[in-house]
Amino acid sequence: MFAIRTENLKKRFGRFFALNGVSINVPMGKVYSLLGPNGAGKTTTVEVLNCILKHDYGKVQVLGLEIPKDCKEIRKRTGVLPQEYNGFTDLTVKENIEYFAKIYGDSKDHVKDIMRLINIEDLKDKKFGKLSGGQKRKVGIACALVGNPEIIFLDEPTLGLDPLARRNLWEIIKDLRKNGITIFMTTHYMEEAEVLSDIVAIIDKGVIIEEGNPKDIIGKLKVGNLEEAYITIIGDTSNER
Amino acid sequence: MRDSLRRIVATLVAITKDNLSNRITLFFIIFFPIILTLVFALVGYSFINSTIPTVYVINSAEREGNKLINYINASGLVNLIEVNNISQIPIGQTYVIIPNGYPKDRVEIYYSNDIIGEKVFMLLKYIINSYNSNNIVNGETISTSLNPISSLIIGAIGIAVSANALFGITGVTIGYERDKVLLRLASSPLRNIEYLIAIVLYQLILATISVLVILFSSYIMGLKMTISPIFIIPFLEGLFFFGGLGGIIVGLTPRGKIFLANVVSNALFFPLMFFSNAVIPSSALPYPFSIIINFNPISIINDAFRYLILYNNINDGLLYSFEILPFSIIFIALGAKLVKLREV
Repeated sequence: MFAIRTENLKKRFGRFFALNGVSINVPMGKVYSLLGPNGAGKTTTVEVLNCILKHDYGKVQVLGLEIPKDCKEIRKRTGVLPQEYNGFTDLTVKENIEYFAKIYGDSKDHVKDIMRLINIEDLKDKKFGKLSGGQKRKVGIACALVGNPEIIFLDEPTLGLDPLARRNLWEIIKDLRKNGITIFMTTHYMEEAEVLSDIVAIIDKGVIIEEGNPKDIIGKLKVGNLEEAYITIIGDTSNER
Repeated sequence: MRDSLRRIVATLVAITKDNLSNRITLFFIIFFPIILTLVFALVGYSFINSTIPTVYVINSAEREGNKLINYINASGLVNLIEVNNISQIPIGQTYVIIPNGYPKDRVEIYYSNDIIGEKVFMLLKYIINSYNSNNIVNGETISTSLNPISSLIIGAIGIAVSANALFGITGVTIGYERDKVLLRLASSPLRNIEYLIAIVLYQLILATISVLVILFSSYIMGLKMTISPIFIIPFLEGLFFFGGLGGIIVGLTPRGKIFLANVVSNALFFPLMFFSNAVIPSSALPYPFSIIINFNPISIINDAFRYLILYNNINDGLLYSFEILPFSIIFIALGAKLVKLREV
């Protein structure tokens, strides 16, 4: 069974097609990264898969459940870290995570386990608004882990973070993968995608233009790394236009 | 049902805790009502002091009484309004009773137990005694702690309830949209209706605190007001009317331009506040301003509050409440329909 499966997914805003026939298959327990320039359709894809935006055409399944029919169940079994998530700024870290625990019907003991897993126990009484960017993302991931999700969606999880904080977050993502959680991630950082992902997909103008294992893509294009592969692919499609 | 209740309570607690420690929110729910109360009281006192006082008169002595009324009117020092019975006299206003047996029996003057009431009493006593050199005046203070300033303070309550309801919903939604909290909630099991109920209950808390602050400030200034339990009706109507309006504004504002909701709320609220009967009675303004003021929802809510708190007149209070009830229901229903966490 695939964790996520879309067939010819289309989403339109007015006359503009943000997604124009996206078909992806994300196996269970893998890290899947969606790459692409600004406005390519990465966040729109995440929001359709999170049952936030209603798609106009195509078939979408998450954990074998249909969108929009089974959205209630999907929301219970998935976790999300939105892009530049800023939380309840005047609540403490613990209060923020406990709030989501109540929403998902999770226990306080599990909140403690999550804080231990993400290594944020020392921040538990600090107000969310007083945290650094890296700490906020860690808390965001902790909130996404509430309710024992089978899939976690991370929308640009390391955007604007310093290199150390970014590396720190990579380790957390690797740990989550080891625990069998499927991770669907969007990112602008090719190095990150190359290190973390089992599968990457490059999207541009709402269309998937390349998909596969990062090493296979690099080998196929005979380039040094994923960044060069990305530039080659995006450059080619830009020239075609 | 139990899950739903748990999510509503958790969201209400989170929103309340998150915002009640915010200085801007504290300003709006505590300091803004105190400032409103002080400003309204000062405006009221200076207004009363700078104009000819209005005095109500009940004349039971007919011809002799009319002569006295003409004499007082001719002095130009007070504005006399003749009424048939005490129920027609607004609360806290000075009034004169000319008894059937006048001039044998003494003229009774009832005045509020404050500096303004005493000034008007002294003035009336002087005028009446100058008409008849025998001391024919008997003074009596009105057995209420209310005076015309109380009416203005009620205006502050109307404004505080409306402002908290409108800006409570737009302010919180704008902040949470900016911080991506709404996006996070949209992908959680929290339902639209649960979020809306939590946010309306949050407004209820804000407005209740503001009303208590105003009543406490008034009490310190010597104005003791007792609130009928029926007060809850126009109070909730005001909350639903302006909360619903806030929901409509937020719901119609495009995603990504949500800050515009605040601009629209300000553009709507401030004219409504200034063109209401909170400070100026509609009868004091010429047509068509008086009509605009009378149809202003803040004025209608204020009228309901005034009848229920000042005059203890439940019938008229409820009458004003029913005037705004359909709009409150329509607005809160529309707001609930338009405030959506998600499309799906």
